[in-house]
Amino acid sequence: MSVGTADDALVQVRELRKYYPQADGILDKLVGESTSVKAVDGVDLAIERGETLAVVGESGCGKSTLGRTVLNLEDVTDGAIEFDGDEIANLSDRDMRPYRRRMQMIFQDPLASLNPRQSVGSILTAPMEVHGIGDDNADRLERARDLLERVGLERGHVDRYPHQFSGGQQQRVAIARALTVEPEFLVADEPTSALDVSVQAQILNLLEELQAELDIALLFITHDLSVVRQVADRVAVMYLGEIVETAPTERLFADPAHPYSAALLSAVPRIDPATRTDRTLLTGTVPSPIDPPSGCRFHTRCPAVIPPDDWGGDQSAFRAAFAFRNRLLDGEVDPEAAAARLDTGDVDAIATYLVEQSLQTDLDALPEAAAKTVSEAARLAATGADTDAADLVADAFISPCETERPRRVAARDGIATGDIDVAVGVDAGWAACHRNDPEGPGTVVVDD
Amino acid sequence: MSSAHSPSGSADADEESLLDIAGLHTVFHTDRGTVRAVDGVDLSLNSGEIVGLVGESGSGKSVLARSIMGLIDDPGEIADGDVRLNGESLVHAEESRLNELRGGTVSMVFQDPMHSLNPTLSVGEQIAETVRLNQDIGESVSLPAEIKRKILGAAENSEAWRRAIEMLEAVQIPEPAARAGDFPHEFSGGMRQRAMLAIALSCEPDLLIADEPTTALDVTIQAGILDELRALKDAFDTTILLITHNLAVVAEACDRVNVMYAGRIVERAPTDVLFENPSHPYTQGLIASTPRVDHPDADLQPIPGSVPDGIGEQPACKFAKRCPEAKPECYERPPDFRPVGASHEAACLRRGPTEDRL
Repeated sequence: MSVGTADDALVQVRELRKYYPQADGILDKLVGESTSVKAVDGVDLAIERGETLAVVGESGCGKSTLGRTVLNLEDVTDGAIEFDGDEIANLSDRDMRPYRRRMQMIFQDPLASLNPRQSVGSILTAPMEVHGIGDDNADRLERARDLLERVGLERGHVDRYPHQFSGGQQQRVAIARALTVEPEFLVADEPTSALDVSVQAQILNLLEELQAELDIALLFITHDLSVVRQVADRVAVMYLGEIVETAPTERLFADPAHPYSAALLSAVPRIDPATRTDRTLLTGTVPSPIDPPSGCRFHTRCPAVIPPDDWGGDQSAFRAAFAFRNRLLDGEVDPEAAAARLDTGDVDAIATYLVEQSLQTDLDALPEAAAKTVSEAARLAATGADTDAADLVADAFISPCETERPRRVAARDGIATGDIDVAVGVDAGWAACHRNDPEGPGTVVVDD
Repeated sequence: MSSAHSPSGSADADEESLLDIAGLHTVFHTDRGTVRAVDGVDLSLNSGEIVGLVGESGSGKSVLARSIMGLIDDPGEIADGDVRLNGESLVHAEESRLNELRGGTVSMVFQDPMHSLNPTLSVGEQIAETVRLNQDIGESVSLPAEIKRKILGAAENSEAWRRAIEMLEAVQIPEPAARAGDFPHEFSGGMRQRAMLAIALSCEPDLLIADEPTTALDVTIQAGILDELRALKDAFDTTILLITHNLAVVAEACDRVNVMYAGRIVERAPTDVLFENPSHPYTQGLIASTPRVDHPDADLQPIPGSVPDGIGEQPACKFAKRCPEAKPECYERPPDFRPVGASHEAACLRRGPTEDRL
């Protein structure tokens, strides 16, 4: 299905998982009921030579862990990482050695990644020595000088120490160090987030030049969609450990297929008032990666969550009822606080207040049966029968987004590809949302 | 109230402006020399407006904010100039008077709420504390009373506690009554910043200084906080000085903008005017080096070099060394503010009326 084939890719990641066990105690291990943080949970990616793939997402989505795991700097919990055709997941340090030279990483905070006691010359020649690059020390130092020049510093800077540089210059040194071993693959984790705007532009331009010149495959990890638009050829949007959409950069910004991508995009502030769109404010907090939501992981916050077939009302009404239900199930509806606020013990008054506070629409906007259920649940909650209230709504408003895992669907032509393997190449792209799946639930709903 | 104000921030707004900063110089004495962090700033804020102060690190924007609040400690000092709040000088005020004003008439929120919140007190108690300290609600703020509260938790039916819940509700914390008892570490980053806003606004300040309030937050959260600032401004008629490095945040949130570089304001205008027609070479460079979601096709044009550290001899125009338009005279003659459009001024010798232009 995909336009490019997997063979084109320099780096190919399949069903990659990285879990961090939470149980520290021996007892936990013996009992075996350990929980784990699912930082990366089934990621497929492919990166071609000379291509920049940006991974974008909010803090805690797992994008930094993904970057380190792809480089085999973290033990892989499950899945495969192919580098230039060779499987490298969980190779020992010794076996990784030949690959290490071919892949490098740069970090957000350059000063923290540069040894303050080493001169720039030593910082740059050390990796060459380890990997046997250069004839002798003099040759390596000469190469270091060339590299400094190449990243926009001066040849004489080999004698300086990291703290003698500004933040932007330090990041140039870090880039130069990454280039010492002539890597084919570079992971850049928020490389410009700590820099001022004017300096960020210098570094972004430098990365772009070097990449074009050296044909490096670049995995660019960032939270900043403006930077993504500037540097990336393709984008992968990450949410709670999963990629929810990949797309060529232009397509993602023009026409995001996944509701999460759309919401993220709409939240970016814009300088030009003419380009401001109606903002989709996401409600609720990001769920825990220890116990991510079932079905589509975004369903708890999704503005486009799909009503069940027998709903009988419009989507926005369902969304309100669904949110009310989830707040009740999460124990976020607080009748005691309402009672204190109203200074009354009157059950009906409290119930009315709870509905006003927790239902984001008028009761009249809901279909009759649903309105009845909401009122009844609020009344039960007001009398202190929390469990009964929760049981009532739990069965009443169920979205297919909660019960069924969305398939990856080619976003451009709307053709379902089912369990597509991995989409590679500039033209490929998919989104994992039921709304894009012609055979999925919710296609009866007219897009609003 | 918001009559046709002078957007220039010049002295003619004296009578009606809430805050007036005139000729302010804040310096830091270091081993390497004296750093002139704020180097002659004039700025005035009128009631009920959101004014942006935008600049890169080293521009002195945060030092300016701290100077307003009287928070400059050794080795720093306000060397010259004055800050007047409702006509009253803050630079020459006693510490006790400043303490009265801080958290009362003027509040401040910072970039990192975790460092501003007390980790050992519940969020509700921290808001209640501010309420008790700043409003006479008949609750003791004596040391024994505070210790008792700290050990036993807040009196949950006290007036101050009720007010705390109201404030959490005002900044859109879900289930405020239940969450008021939570400690800061139990809040997410966005909620902590909302809690900080709740504390800052609990005493209904006339002036709120927000220093990079959304910089540590995800965009989805940032959008909510910016909406919140605007809503709170309307609800409480609070004047907000919004300090940020992010041009797009300024563009969306502020009524007027001041662009700051190396301790000085270099350009000021109503927000839409500034972004429609940026005039100072630094402002132009800043915009050209900002990656845009809205104008992707423009190549990034970085400003060469980096911000000077403010130590030692500087050219008369501090941007001259990085400026693509600089002439020899720019190094010698200090730039004055020149009109470049309606309510729009730039401190550059190469701008303004043709006959004055270098």
